[in-house]
Amino acid sequence: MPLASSLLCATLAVGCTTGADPGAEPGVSEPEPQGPETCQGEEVDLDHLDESPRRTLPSGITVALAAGDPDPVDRGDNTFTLELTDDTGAAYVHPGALDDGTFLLSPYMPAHGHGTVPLDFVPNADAEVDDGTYIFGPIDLFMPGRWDLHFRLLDVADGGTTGAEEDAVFTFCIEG
Amino acid sequence: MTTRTTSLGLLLGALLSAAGCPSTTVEEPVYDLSHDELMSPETCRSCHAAHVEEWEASMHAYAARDPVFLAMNAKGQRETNGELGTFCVECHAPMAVRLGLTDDGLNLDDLDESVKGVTCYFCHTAHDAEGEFNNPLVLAGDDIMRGAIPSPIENTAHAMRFSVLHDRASTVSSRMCGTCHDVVNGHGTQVEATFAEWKDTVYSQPPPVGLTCSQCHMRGRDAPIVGFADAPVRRMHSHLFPGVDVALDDITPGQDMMREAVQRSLDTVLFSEVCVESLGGGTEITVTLENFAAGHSFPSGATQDRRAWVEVQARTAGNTVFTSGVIDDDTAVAEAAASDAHLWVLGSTGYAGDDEVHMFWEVERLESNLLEGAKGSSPLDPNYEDVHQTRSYFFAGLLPDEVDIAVHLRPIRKDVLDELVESGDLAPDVPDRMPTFTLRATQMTWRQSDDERCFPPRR
Repeated sequence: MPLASSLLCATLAVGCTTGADPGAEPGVSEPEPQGPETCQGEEVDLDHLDESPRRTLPSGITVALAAGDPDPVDRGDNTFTLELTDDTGAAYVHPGALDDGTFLLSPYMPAHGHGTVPLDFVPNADAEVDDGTYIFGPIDLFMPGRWDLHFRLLDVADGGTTGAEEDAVFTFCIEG
Repeated sequence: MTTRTTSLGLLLGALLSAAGCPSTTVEEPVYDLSHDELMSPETCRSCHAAHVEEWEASMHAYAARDPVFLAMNAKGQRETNGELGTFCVECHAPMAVRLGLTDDGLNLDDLDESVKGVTCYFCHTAHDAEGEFNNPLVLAGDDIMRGAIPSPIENTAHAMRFSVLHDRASTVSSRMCGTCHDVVNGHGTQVEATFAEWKDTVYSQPPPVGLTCSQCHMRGRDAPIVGFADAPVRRMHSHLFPGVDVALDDITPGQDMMREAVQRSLDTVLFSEVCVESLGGGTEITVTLENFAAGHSFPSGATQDRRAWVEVQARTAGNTVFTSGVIDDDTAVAEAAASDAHLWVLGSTGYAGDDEVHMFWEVERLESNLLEGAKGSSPLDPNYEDVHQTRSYFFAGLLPDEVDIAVHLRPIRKDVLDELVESGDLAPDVPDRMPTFTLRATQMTWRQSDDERCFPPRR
């Protein structure tokens, strides 16, 4: 099995955590129904940077994709800003996040079975982490099509003793 | 003009007239640009400046003045007593061939610029492909410019038509590129197989899985297609077509842009990994390469002319303790291989009988070592195959402090260029202009101090 594929398949093919449908707010009229979004002809639930999509992991940590540059996501170099909060809403700060590979961003194209080079990105060292904000990139998303950005938290459950991995997935479409 | 045309429309018209069918008079629109004006890319520039600016930096514009092509064609015509004929110019100057202006490409200097290279008119009037190699594209011969836009804006310059061959979202569009990017020589040997390679990968599957040639090689951006005031913003596609080759002259414009695009596309094409461990009193370095992002093999194209190789250097206390693939710009890869038993080379070698040959018209068979593209999206895909390659290097000695690896690529191998210089067909300064690209994503250093067997570490 190709090494690059096997490394990602093993970790990304299972356990993807997706956010709940926000639903309609009470008292607010629903928007006009729109057709399903597509990417390369595939119907897929896409995320949009201007909506600051968020996911809540089983451990209670919420991952918000607060910003990206460029916006919308485009082919070539992209930078992503993620904000982490714990189940009380406080900033989630992990002391080793910048240097021990605990937090990773792993882009992946499910249609082709490949990711990026390198496969995984750690937060930028100059990011301000005191408020739970982590910046990743530049990441070269070099092909058009559907990209799944897997934000992976390794070994954080139960105080970092279980070796478990949690995974928040944000899905984007890069137009050709 | 002698373009190949389909005569079905004319035939139908003649039959209808002969049958006495009533005709409805429809006023034909009159366009400003004449046939001759449409043939010239300079005419296109007035409304499609960005397209032409990119195209003139591309290998499509450069095709008929590429000194390596000119040298190979001259040598080939001489050594085959002219049997090579239009083999090269069918793709390097297709309009000149279709207009009957050349039958061997030896008179290109005497021809108008509008018929040299792969021109706007040639691609945008193509309406069918009657085969898959050596340029069987059929031109409509009607001066209607084909493109991928279903609803082009009205204009008085030229007629337009949507064409599935030009629609990058359609898998069919790759056939258009394939007509010149697959080449079969007079011995029936496929000496270029990029399109055939693509058809064997996951990228040739229909959407949403696959990607066409132009989806990767014609990058999109939002911009007006024409320079009219109030022209709508559409998805415009680069006409730079970066691949591997670059211009070797001083007159081709936009070469910084072109080299940057080529370098960028090469940078992400391969995944690499280096693992280092003590083994039996020595050290074993294992390098893994996987064609990660090319929708065809790596390298591709005229692979008997291309050479990629792997550089490995191990150091301890600042001293080099092992090397392979450290090749300076003045040395041919084949020459380096003679004294480097470990050298890992990617490319093809041509043979005539049992003899190695370098010129494409001589090649009766190819032996290739290429990194194939992905066959399936995952191991669950029935088309899936293991396509990564691994090479181990062993040397006596303790675990080194550091091991560097990198993959390099020369678009045309130095010994082929030297042979063309020696035969008097290529100017002596051209080989020195041939770049060696280093694929940045393959440049990495394993460090013993990281306490990991492999770099990048497996997570």
